[in-house]
Parts: sequence; C-alpha cells; structure tokens
Amino acid sequence: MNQNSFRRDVHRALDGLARPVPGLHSLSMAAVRAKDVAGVERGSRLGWLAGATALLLTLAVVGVFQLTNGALLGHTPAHPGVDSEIWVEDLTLTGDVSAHVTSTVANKGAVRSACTGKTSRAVGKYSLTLAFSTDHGVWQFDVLVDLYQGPGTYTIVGNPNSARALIVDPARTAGSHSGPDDTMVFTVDSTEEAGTVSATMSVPYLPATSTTPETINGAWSCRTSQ
Amino acid sequence: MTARPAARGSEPPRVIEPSRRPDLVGLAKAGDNTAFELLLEPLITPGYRLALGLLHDHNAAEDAVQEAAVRAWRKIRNLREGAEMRPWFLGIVANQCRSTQRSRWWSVVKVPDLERRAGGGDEEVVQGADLRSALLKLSHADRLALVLFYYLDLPMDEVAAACGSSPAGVKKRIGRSVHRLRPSLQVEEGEG
Repeated sequence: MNQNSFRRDVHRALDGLARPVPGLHSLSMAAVRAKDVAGVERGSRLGWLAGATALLLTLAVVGVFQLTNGALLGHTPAHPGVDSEIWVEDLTLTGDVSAHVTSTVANKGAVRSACTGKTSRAVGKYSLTLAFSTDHGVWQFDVLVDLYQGPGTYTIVGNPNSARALIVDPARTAGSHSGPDDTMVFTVDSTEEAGTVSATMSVPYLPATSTTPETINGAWSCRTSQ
Repeated sequence: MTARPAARGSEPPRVIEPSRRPDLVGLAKAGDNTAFELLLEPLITPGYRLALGLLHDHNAAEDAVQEAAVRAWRKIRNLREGAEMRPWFLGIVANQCRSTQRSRWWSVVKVPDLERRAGGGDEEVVQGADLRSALLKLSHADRLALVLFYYLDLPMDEVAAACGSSPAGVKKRIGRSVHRLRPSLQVEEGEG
C-alpha cells in the first residue's frame, strides 16, 4: 500500500460517515449573531449585571435555536431540551410522503418539534421544525429563514441559500430539500408562532438518490399555549 | 427566500475580485460580522470534514463546527497579522473536537455507538470500519495530523500551522502514526 492508496482508503473510510451539510454555514453564523445579540462577546463595555442578563438571553436564544434545528444541527447533548406540547397543524404533503398532518408528535430522542418563535428577530433567523407521524412513518419538516425581520411573507427570490425547506426522516436516511428551482412561500403571523407554508422540495437529501419532489401546503403552528 | 421588505436575499451574489479583495480579516477584527461570514464560508466544509475525521460522528461534527465558528468570532482579534485563516480556524475546530471527546457524553455514549455501527457485513464497510477504529486508537494530536494531511489533503505547512507545530515535527508525527497503523492496515514496508 503506497501513500496514495492510504490516502484513498482514509477518504473512503471517513466519507462513509459524512452527510450533506447544506445549512451549516448559515446556522454557524446564526449562532455567532446570537452570541453578539447578547453583547457579551468582543470586549463589550456592559457592566456585570447587564452582562449577566445578556448571557441569560443568549443561552435562551441559542438553546431554543439549537433545539429548533434538530434535523439540521443534529442533537446537541449539551442542550437536552424539553418536551414540547403537541402542536396543531393543518398541512398536506404530496410526493414520496403523502399525508395530511393534523398535529406534531411528542418529542422523544431525535424526534423533535421546536421553533425560534418570538426569539427569531433577536437571532435574525426563523427556524421551524415539525415532527409528525404519517402512514410512511415519522418525518420532520424544517424551514430555515435567513434574514428574518419579523412577521410577514417570505418567498424565494433569486437566492435559494437564504432559506431552506427540508423534509427528512429522523434517521436522516431519506428526504428532500428545496433547491434553486423550487418555490416556497412561508408566512409568519403576528404571534410569530404560526403561519402558512407552501413549498416544493425537489433535491434529494442524500446525494445519488432519487426522490419524487415533495410538496407541503397548509397552516403550521408552534404555539405552546392554545 | 428573501425577507418581506427585500433584504440581502434579492441582491446579486457577492463576488469579490482578487484584485479588489478587501481586507476581510481587518474588517472582521473591527467587528464586521458580514466580513467574518465571508471568511468563514469556504472553511465550513473543511471544518466539518476535520471534525468528522476526529469525532467520526456527523451530529457531533456539525455541533463542533458551530461552536468553533462562535469561538473564532470571539477570538478573531487574536489572528496574527499575515496568518492564514484556514489553519487558524481548523485549529479551533480541532480544539473543540478535543473538548467534545473529553466529555463524559462522548466517552460513554458515542464510542459504543461507533463500535456497534462498525459491525456491518459488507467488506468495504468493514475495512472502512477497521481503519476508522485504528484512527480512533491514535492520540488526538496524531489523529489530527493524519486527518489534516490524508483526508483534508492540506500541504504540510498548513497541517503544521493547524497543529501548532513545525512542519518537520508534524511530518515526523505523521510518519510515526502511519507506522503505528501499518499492522492493522497491512501497509507494505518502505511506503506510506
């Protein structure tokens, strides 16, 4: 075995563990901005009391944000999270996963529903994860909106990287996400905990797999108090 | 997707011509997080690959890269004048991975997961699992040097910078590590 074949073997062995990370840059920057919001980084002149308050805000924002992004961020052991209530949904899916979703399922293990909700403006991102049960098993639907500015309508205009929709099974072995040719309209109402979504996801989650474009339409909610 | 009053989403892609490349590091040091974002973007995939090579776990690798991004933003002022961003950031990712591996969560939960995963039947998978298992038996420093050189394909001087070592020192370390892996990898004498 020469050096090149060893290099090839290392690539093969480690590439077998890799998965696509389409949102990792955005999420990393969201985490950076979330820390900045608190003003505890980069030599802030806040007094210790203000600093402590800001730190608490940071922990809350980052904690909620990371939980919300379960499918994209992965389960973070440092943030075990709390079980959410069951949220009422009215979503219709077509494609490989065809279903009418009326509620989320209870959080358990890697199956999680969460949203950044009212903390989104501080983070500058809106992130929604809904886990629901269908005849095809449990699936998770994720939306990530970059440049979130408050309640309103968000649509893809020329920059598909600024927002993503993803549907994936909890084991992340199948699914699809939005691509440059897909359409998506995501609305957030004044509560910032509900709205509507209409999205097409045509790009297979795992490379070299085929999938029928998935569509999702209807009303979503992550309201914890009905 | 763009924000309701069209924000950056409707702007044309940001293309920076080499001849007019602004001092992004200087801007980032001054607190410009857009400059930092531009600096970070090409480093996310190498950072993920490094973390994956060190931790052998997709979720933990993603978490490590995000934590490293936050740490890099905090420490960007420490980046020495003229120093390359890539080895500097990869060094932060490596430190984050070492912290992850030291945690009880990693040693108690994740290692058994890896061993169980390695029990597949496909020959190629088994061979890959053997190599991964052998890599995991190396020290953090040895594995870091090997992953940077053989998986990220970085030149030796960048490997050395990321490892905080000299090129000669890291070359010796890689040589020793490959030699240690030879029995399990059946590497022929005189090569590697």
